[in-house]
This record gives sequence, structure tokens and C-alpha cells, in this order.
Amino acid sequence: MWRGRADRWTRYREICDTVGNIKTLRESAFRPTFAAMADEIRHPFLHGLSKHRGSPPTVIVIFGASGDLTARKLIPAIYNLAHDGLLPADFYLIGFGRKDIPDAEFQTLAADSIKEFSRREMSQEVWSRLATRTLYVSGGYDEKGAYDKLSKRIGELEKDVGQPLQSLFYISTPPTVFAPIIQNLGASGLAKRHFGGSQHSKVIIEKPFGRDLASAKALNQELTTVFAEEQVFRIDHYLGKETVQDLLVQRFANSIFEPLWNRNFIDHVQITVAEEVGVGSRAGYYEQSGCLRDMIQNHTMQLLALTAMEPPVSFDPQSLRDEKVKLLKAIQPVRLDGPESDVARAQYSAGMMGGKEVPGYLSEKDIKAESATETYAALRLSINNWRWQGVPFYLRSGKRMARRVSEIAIRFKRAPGSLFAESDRFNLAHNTLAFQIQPDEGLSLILNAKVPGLETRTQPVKMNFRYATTFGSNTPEAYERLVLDAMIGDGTLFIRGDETERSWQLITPILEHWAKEGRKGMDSYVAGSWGPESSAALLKANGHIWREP
Amino acid sequence: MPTIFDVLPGMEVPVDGITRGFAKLWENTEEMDQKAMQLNLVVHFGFATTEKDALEQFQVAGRLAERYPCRVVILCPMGDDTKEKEMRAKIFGECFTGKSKGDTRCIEIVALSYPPSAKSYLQDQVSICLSTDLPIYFWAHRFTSSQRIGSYRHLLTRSQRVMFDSAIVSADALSYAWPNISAVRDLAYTRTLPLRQNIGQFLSRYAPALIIEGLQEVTIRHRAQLAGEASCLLGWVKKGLVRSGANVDQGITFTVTPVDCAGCFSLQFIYSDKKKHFEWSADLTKDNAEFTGDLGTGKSTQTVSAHFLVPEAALAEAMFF
Repeated sequence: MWRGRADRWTRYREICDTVGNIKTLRESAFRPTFAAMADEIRHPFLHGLSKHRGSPPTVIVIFGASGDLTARKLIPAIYNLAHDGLLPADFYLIGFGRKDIPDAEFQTLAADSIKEFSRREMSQEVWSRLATRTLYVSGGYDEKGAYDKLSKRIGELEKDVGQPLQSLFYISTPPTVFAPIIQNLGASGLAKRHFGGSQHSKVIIEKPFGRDLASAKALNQELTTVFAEEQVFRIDHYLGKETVQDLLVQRFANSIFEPLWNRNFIDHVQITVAEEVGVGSRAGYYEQSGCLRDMIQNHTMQLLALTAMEPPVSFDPQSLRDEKVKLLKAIQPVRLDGPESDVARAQYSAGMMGGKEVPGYLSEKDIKAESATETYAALRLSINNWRWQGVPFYLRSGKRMARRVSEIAIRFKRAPGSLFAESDRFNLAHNTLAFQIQPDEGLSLILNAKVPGLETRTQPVKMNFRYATTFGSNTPEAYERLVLDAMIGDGTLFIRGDETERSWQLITPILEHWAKEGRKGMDSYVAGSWGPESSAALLKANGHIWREP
Repeated sequence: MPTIFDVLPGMEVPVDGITRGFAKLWENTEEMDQKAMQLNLVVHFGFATTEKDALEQFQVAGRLAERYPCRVVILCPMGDDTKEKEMRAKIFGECFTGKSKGDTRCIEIVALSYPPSAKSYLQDQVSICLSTDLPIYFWAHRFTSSQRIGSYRHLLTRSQRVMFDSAIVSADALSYAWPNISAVRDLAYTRTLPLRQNIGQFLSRYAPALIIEGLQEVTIRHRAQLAGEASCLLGWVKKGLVRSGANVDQGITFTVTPVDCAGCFSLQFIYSDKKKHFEWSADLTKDNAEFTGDLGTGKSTQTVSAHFLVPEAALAEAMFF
């Protein structure tokens, strides 16, 4: 038997060694050099496993454990990672919150959230393994003793497993307690656990990263006093969406786009992040935030950066984020008032959504009649670089819009010449490439085609690529990808401190101007419509109109 | 006596009527728009494929196509003794309802039965069933002779991946000079991914030098039917030891022993220093494994899951990674 097995091994080695070698060559050819180097320094028994299958033993601590995001997104994401076998065997989840609840109760809450919000049905087998590793520590966010207790608990877990655990702190709380959490992570020594080693602590922080430039700087200062920048993972879940990552692939893996991706061929770009929902029960938060802070400063600006940036030299975290920052720096300051203002804001008035009447913003619960908070914002941006000079970028976002949709639409210039001059026979559309981020993820391209018949007549036609149809819709959620990326220390899809500051640098003058003006200049739009007249006027000046995707 | 082609589901159509057959199949259905394709999968049944097995692999291909929409073409060779001179075709379509209408996905499978005399024309006959702009993946199942499969050179060289299961194909598959060796993947190896991941993560807690220092023997015990997987695991362990700096050709004994035990699978490192040890012991029927280890840094134990990838996941792993 042994001889037979030995022969088999020899044969196996022949083929697998060859395959293995060639795989290594392919990786170094297509991936950045640092990645190949990273693979070289991986533990010998982790070689050949994808980086996402080699995350170190980890304890994730969620601050804000009883919050909505934890229940809807974070716990289901962790469960699905467990389901896919992507969590390390030594994995623990600790909920941290003010409520004093035993581990068992937190486990029940976690199980309930998986049942309600997971993209997969809960498997008792998978959950039973994770449940015993789901723990809870109670304490005030500003109470140093609670962090010492947390530190002790993590230390005990390390003793149990007999090896160091990477601590990943997920701050999913209101921004008012960001500072005490960060300070106490520093004071208790949790931030510097295993610092300098592969199991050093990391922190994920949820938006908002400040509410203006000054507070963003203060938050960054707070963070970098306690953590090194490479320990910090500022999360914008839009970057975890497959379609947002696909934008980079479409741009940089298809040679047909790059030659056209500039002012010579592109007429303008529209980026829309539209919500159907109103302010709902979030009046307290929203009144302090508004659309510009809630959506434009983060999600929409990220989409803009990815659409317009130069190709990075590689997809390593620094190169990609360097290009985004360069792009943000090239955006010109906006004109705030006068007939050529680049900004518009509005509140929704009573209207109709899905055939039902809905109240206006000022009639919503807990909204003051004199509220000057915008539920809609639109910007016209100019990018002062060789590629984009003269191409307007229109950004808009709003609540209670006609349809929930996030998309990036690239509108190309018309074909030159008069072969098909506009007439009744020639219904010509601008070629438009639209990336739909959500829902119905995919992309479409508007082309002009001949209508069948003896006469040459043209008509716009739409080519559609739908993600769900081709790849299925049960793909990992953004939070799954991002939590796992943070666990393995890959910051590519996270936002760097200087990115947030540059973005706030653009937005803060608008916020200050609007704060000074109060309700003066606040437009309105009917709930269920595509936005206010003042927003349409931003485009009209250039002969453009908003899409109704 | 039914052939493997006969037992496969689907509607028999003329070989030159496959496209028309599908058009008719989807005619006036809402599902017409739900068809998409990202790749082609050619499944080639070998002579060792039984009717029952063919049906099972048909379902595996269907489940893969549900997850990764693709055109599946199943090739069913007739025996050398057949008097048939013509090829036969069957088409099969099925839709899966998702959470929403937009999530409904439909698959199309073509089965082709061919006599030995059609072998030289097979390449063209298969090509018209495929969307050849998209990647082709070739899965050779239960073949009895590598040389015979090796003669399908067109598929072997054009395919993004060539997959077979070393546990059930002819023994020479692992040493055969496949024309595009870099594309070859062994399903028995990919099937062991969850085991390799768990063992790798556990061993990665130790410095490589600690793992190899004083290592005298590596033992794998396995259920007799899992000889292929055990062989793959042994290959992987050897590679890990070599990367750790060990000379596996000298001083370390490797033993692979079949045992009469339903889900048993274990890996043990034995050291000259009797205080040092490492063992992973799994019961695959219970999806459970225990680690115990002490390589000089204190005793560690751990309980983890232990299972192979299901067939369609192993296929996907082999195809995409």
C-alpha cells in the first residue's frame, strides 16, 4: 500500500508542482509586486490560499452593539462570512454597549438579526459554532473601567486559545461618542495591542467622519493620536458594493473606454443617489445632518472620484487612494450664489409615493416648521485637469424622489458630421453609458440603431448588462467584503484621512453659506418627483437635463 | 439497455436543430429575457460513468449553472462496439425563481451522444453549441484513459481550465503530459480546501522553524474511499514543510494509511522530542475536527468544522481560482 501511495504522491507532485509554479508566475504577472511579495512572506502553510482565507485569529468588538446597523448589517455579515468558511477558526465577536446584558441574551439578539436580515437562511450548524463565540461586555463609552474589562476579556480569550488575537474595533455609534471611544481605546492600551506585529489592533469607523472640515480634522487628529493611519479603516459601504468595484474594472480592464474617457468625447457626467424614503424616524439625526452631509460628501463624492480619477499604478491601498485624493484636489471651488450658482438645495413638499399621499418634510414628525435642513442637494462641479477641463459633473441626491436609484451616467458627445442630421427620420440619442449601482445592479449603453425597413430611420436602443442575471443576486453584501478586508488589513476600499478632509474642504463652504442664509434660497420639490426647478436650472445653463433613470 | 445519454433529462432534438429547439423551448415564456451566460462548461463523461453517476453529475452541472449562468454541453461517448453512426442531441432548460423577478435565472444544457466515428468532427459540433467568445471550461469525468482524453486537443488547449477528479479517473492522469498543464486542476485537491484552510490557519500560529524542528514522521489516516483526497492533502503538507525549510526527502517518513472508519481523516506530526506533537483529527460525517498541538509554546486545542467542498463548489473553486 505504501509503495502505491508513494507512487501516487510522486505523480501528484509532478502535476501539482507544475500547476503551483505556473500559478505563482501568473499572480506576479497580474498583481502588484507588493502582493506577490506579501504572498512570499506569508506563512508556508497559508501559501496558495486566497488572502481572504488567511485572516489571522480575530476578535471583533462592536461598539453600538444594540444599534440598527449592527442588527441589519454587521451581524448578518459576520454570519455569512462564517457560512462561507472565511472566518478564522479562532474568531470571537464581542458586543459592547451601555445595556447590561448577559452573553446569552446577546446571542439571542444576534440570532434574531440573522433570521431577519441575513441574505441566507440561518443554518443552525453554522450558527451554533459562532454563537458560543459571541459575547457581550457592558459599559459606558466614556468609562475607562469598561475598556479595562474589555481588555481583560480579550486577554482571557487569548489564554484560552493559546495565541494572540487581532482586535478589530468596529465603531458603529453616533458620532458624539467617537471621541471617548477612541480615547479610551488608547488609554486602556487596546489600541496598541500587539502593535508592530501581524495581529495589531485595527479600528473601523462608520460615517460621518466629521460634520465639516474642522470636525473632520479634529476626528482625524483624535484617531491618529491613538492609532497609526494603517490601523484605521473609515468605512463607506458604497465602496464595498460589487457594482462600485466593477466601475474600476470596466474603466481599466476594457480598452474601449479609456480613449473616450475625457473631455474630447464626454459631454457631461451625472451622478444620482436618490432615495424613496422620507426622513421617517430619523428626524433628530437628519436635522443635524441634511442631504449634503448625509449623502453627497461621502457616497456621491466617492463615486465621482472613482469615475474621474486617473488609472492608479496598482490596486494597492495607497495608489488607489492617492489617485482619488488627486482628483478631489482638482475640483474647483463652487459658486455659491448669483445666477450662475453651482449649488441647489430643496425640501420635499407633500406629494405622492407609490400611489399614496405623503406629507412634506416640514410636516414630518419632529421637524420644526422653520427647518432649514435640505432633503435634496445638487452640485455642478468642474474638474480642473487635462482630462476633464470643461466637462460638467452633476451630482444630486435627495429623499422622497421618484425612485430609489444610484447611478453614474456618462453622456458622450454626438457623432460629428451631418450624415444623420436630426430630423423626423433620425431620432438620435447621445450615447450614454450608465452604471447602475443599486437596485438592479448593472450597466446599460444607449446606442443608435437602424429601424428595420426600406427607409433608413434610426432609433435609440439600449444594451443592458444586469449583474443578477449573469452572476446571480445572492452575492456577498458590501459589509461582508469590507469587514473581511479590514480583518486582513487591506484598506483599498476604505477612505483615508486626507480623502475625508479634502472632501469636507469642498463641502464646508456650501454648508457655511447655507447656514448663513437660513431658509433663504431653499427650493422645494414635490415628494415623488425628480427634484426641484433650481436643480434643473444647474443643467439648463449648459443645455442639459437630468436623467430620470 | 439504456445508455448514459438516454438517462439524462431533456428533449431529444436533431443535432442541427439545437438552436431552434431552445428557441421553441423558451417561446412565449417570460423567462426568455432571464437567460444570461458568463462561461461555457463542457462536461465529458468517460466510459466509467454509470447511468446513476451521469445523472448526479448532470445535477452538479445544473447547480453550478444556476450559480454561474453558463452554457453546459455534456458529451456522452458511445462505446467502441456501437453500430451507431450518427450523433444525437438533447436539450434541457430550467429556470430558478429568485427573491425577485429580476433574480430569476435560467439554464440551458445540451447533451450530445457521439459514436467513435464522429470523434474527429466533435470539435466543430461542440463549437456551435457554445458561446465561444466566453471562456470555456472542460471537465473530464471518470475517464479510463488519459491518452484518450488527451486526444481532444482542441478542448484541452482552448479551455481556461481542464478539470478532473484524481480520485476517480485513470491513475495516469496525474502524470500525463497534458497539452496545457497550467490549466489543469484536480477536483480532489480543490475539494480539500476547507481542510487545508483550517489546518493552515492552525499551523500558522507556529513559526515555520518550530514546525520542522525534530519532525520525524507525518501520518495521514483516512477512510479507504478517500485515498485521492488523502494523497492531495499529503502533497500539500509536503509543500508546506518544504517552504518551511524541511528536506522532505531525508529524515521524515510519510505514511498514508487507510482505516475502516466512516468519516475518519487525520493528520499527525511526530517529533523526536516526545513533548512536541501536532494532530488534526476529523470526523467528516459530523463536520467536526479537533486540533491538539504543542510545538514547544504550550498546549493548544481547537475544535473546527471539517468537510469537503460540495461538488459544485469544488468545480467553481477549480474554475475560478
